[in-house]
Amino acid sequence: MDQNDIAEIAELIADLDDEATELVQECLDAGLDPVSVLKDGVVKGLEKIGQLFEAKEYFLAELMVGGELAENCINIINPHLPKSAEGERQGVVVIGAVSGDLHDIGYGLVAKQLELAGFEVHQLGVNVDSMAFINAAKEKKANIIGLSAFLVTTIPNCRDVVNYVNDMGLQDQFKVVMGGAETNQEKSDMMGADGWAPNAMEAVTLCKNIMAAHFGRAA
Amino acid sequence: MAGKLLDIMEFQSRAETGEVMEKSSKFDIKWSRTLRKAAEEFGVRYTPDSTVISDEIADGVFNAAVKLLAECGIYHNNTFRIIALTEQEIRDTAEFYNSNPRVSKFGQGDDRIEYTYRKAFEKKLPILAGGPCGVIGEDWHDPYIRSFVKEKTNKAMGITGGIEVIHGHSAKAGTLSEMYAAQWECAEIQRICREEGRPGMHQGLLCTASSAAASFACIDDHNPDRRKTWNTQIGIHIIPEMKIDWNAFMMAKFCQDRGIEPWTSCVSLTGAICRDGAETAIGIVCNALGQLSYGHGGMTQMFANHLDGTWSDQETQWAVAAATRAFERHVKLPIASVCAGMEPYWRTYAGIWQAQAMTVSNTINGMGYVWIGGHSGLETRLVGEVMQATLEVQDPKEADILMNKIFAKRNEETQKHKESGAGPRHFKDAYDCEKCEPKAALLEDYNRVKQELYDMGLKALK
Repeated sequence: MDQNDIAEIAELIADLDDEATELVQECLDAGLDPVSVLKDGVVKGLEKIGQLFEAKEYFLAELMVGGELAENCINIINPHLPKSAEGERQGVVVIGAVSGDLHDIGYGLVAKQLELAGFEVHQLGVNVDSMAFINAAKEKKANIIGLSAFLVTTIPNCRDVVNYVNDMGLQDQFKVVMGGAETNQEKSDMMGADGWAPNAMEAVTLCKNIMAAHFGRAA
Repeated sequence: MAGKLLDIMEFQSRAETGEVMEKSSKFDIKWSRTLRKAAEEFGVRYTPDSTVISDEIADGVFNAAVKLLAECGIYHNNTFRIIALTEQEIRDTAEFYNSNPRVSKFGQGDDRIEYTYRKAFEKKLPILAGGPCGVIGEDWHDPYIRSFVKEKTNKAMGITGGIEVIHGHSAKAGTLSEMYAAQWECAEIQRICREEGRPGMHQGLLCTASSAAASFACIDDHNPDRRKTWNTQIGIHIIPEMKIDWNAFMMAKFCQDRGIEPWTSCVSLTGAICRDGAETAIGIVCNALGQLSYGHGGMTQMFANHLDGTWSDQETQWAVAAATRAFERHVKLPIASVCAGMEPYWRTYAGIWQAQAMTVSNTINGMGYVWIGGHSGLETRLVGEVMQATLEVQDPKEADILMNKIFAKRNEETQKHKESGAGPRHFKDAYDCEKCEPKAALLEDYNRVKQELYDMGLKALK
């Protein structure tokens, strides 16, 4: 087995083909470099999915299937990675819809785009209590807390999360970003969030910029 | 066959015993795969050059939606289980309505209205129930609402917007401030309706209150400052795509107990799980059938937008039209539609064009009533005038030619406005808030669009 097989992993993932997991295992069994299997295989495949999404050839469903497939591959690769490779991720994000809000497609899309961009993302679901964001961020050692709010009456719940971060002295540990149909930069400022993005693609840029500005990662 | 409806309490046990699906994304994946297969099996294809929906497409959309709902069910966000419905139960629900076309009655006195189902190309005027939507500031809440109430051609308000901050309190869901803001808003709207001599006017969807507790607290038939059972609707809807929670069920039960018409609202996104207009139409109908099964409502609104939040273009309107026609042929409920532009274009020339693209295509394809018609009273008047004129368009080929011209103009003006970086026109810039009258710039846009629609071929527009 050689580099061509790793390239084949990327193709299989981009094609959403479950055989990718088997090929990952075969490559590792054959002694190929696990970092290369991850970067040149799985991550490359995810990048292709992202490109197809941007070209409107793939949709949210493909992002979800691709994300799930990549996650399965990464779970196989992880035990083989050297310690130094663990820090390769862009950053860690916990994300969900705030208390009272049940809209999951918007934040789900942001989560998938962040995953494609190399972030470790933990989806917390919908109608998430404000303190649950803090607890999850602590547990997952997150850098960024992502809040989704679609309703006029749920946007104010973003401020509760920001207030917890500030009042618990966690400002240097976690940065809070928000988004949703009725939100904008002005409302984000009102809520005291560290950033706002109008869509999933810009959310990735926002999170990368935050990682660069506050956590010393390259943007 | 007369059909039958399921008892809402049946949904309690199904929500507690259905298949467990810990991650809702698994449901999304199953739903999207089933949707694609169903669209293919029933030959539902988006036709970009024609927004006149054939009976064949309408039937395909309906049957695909039945299959989708029967195979996937509804996802319960609180129990992480699937609420399953059999194909027979879904068809029984549809047939119940189909055999007994529903008339939904609202309002009192001179403002009594009846929403009834309407067919494509039917020469019955859809009811104009344009309501103010969006987020309203405390300082312009009165003139904004009043602009719709004082517009005599407007028969009701399908919605009354949302208030964000009142007396310094942010309206926060599930807290005292949500109830406080919603009750303040209710009192204000009742006062405005009384002052304008329309105390019996229907006020549509209760918007600021989103939780069950706050919604219930806004309705009191004996308190002049609250909504009444005859002038209000409460949202019981499934969130796109096919997710529900206890809050919606409790509000549906409350509506059934009190004789309140529930707000059944069906929205699907093009470009997310649904790939195109065809899949979006199926998604909307699946959503509607799901809501009727427990909500037992007498109307439903249908709407589609793209993942980036845009709407009113040919593809989203095609989806709404196909879903509306599917319901016309198989369910027979009054369908509510949006005839209003997108937020960055509110109260502008481009935004008015977006609204007219929706008005013409919705009127042709069987809309029963408008619940959002522009973003001011004057714009709502125009929607009514354009609906009236569109009734004279009876030839499908002529309809498509006209709609294609209007969509082209809508696209052109949208692009120009976007490139100009102009943004929306605030209500305070569009209306003289003291007199509650439109300012010259909005009036000029209104007259210009009207003249251009006439020149385009809408000859009945006076």
